[in-house]
Amino acid sequence: MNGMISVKNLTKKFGDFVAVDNINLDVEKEDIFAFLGPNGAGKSTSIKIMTTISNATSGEVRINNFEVSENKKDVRESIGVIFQDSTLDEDLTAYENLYYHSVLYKIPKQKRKKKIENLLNYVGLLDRKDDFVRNFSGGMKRRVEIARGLLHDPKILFLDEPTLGLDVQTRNFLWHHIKKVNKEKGITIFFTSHNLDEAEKIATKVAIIDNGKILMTGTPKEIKKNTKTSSLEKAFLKLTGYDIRIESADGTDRMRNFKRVHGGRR
Amino acid sequence: MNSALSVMWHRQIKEYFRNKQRLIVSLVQPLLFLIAFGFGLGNSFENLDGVNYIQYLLPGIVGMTIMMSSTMAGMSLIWDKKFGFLKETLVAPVSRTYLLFGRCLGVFYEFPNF
Repeated sequence: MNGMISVKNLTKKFGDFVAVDNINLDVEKEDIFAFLGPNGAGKSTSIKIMTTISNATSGEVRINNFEVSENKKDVRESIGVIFQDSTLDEDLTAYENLYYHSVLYKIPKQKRKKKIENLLNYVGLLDRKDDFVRNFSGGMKRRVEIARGLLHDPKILFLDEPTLGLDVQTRNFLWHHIKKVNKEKGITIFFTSHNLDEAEKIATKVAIIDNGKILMTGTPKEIKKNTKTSSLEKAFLKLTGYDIRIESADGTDRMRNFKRVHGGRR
Repeated sequence: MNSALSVMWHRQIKEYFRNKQRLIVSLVQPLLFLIAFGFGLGNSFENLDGVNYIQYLLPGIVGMTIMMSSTMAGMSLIWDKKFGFLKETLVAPVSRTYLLFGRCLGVFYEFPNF
């Protein structure tokens, strides 16, 4: 029970459909944990439950030793979340987005300005702090989100496909900084990704999930050894099969289309 | 003050004053109704059961303005859902009741003309 994340027999059902089927996970302090799986495997559903956005059908999830359904507030204080889609307010500046975050997370008033400026400097956006977020590129928005996710010194940082749609430089920058905060501040990292090369390079522990069930957990080395493959990508394909997943567009996809068409302007 | 309340309230007002288009519409529309329908058409009505036409019209304009601003409050929630900011507030360690209440206060005080 000393782990930062402990998931026991977690199940989530939507009607008859079982999205997450009796999974168990343990993430230790200072792990960089990669949660991998094809589209529709149950990754985002699990992350939603761990970040208190959604409730589990059954099972126990403890984050930083707080049970998610009982101590929502303590759980929320211990985590930083970076979602797949930007959750910045585009009509505010980078500084304002971070400032409102610091108020929501009750950072003392006299510390706010310094902390925000430090973090914006850390992601290389201090000179753009008073620009509106709607004028930022995808990579810059992601950097602001990383700064915001770290603002309240979380114990665990959740990242849902953080590098999706980013250029090589930003991806490189992002992983470098994630590794750095993991090492320097001892923040536990939990991320999902479709880029298995990146996951192999950065993760200290990996879980592969498909159809709501965990197929294998271990270090990247162990997984390669157990599946007798030479890379994590090959191991992943061996475990989950080569079939391309067919998914109909759900609300999220429609939202992304809408965002693309309207360009984030109101 | 409650942090969720103040954040949502403050943000709502800030964005209202930044969005010049919305600002102008919300200020001009009630005035337009008052001038066009009130003073313009008012001359064609002589007696409405003892009240003058402006007295008869004004409550309607007030009501319409309230309805407009309430709609905007509801809309802002939907926009936040579409553009993601809602999720940021949902994972924050604050009361959701206060988040909603702050949003309503923000919209309520957006309309300085009433």
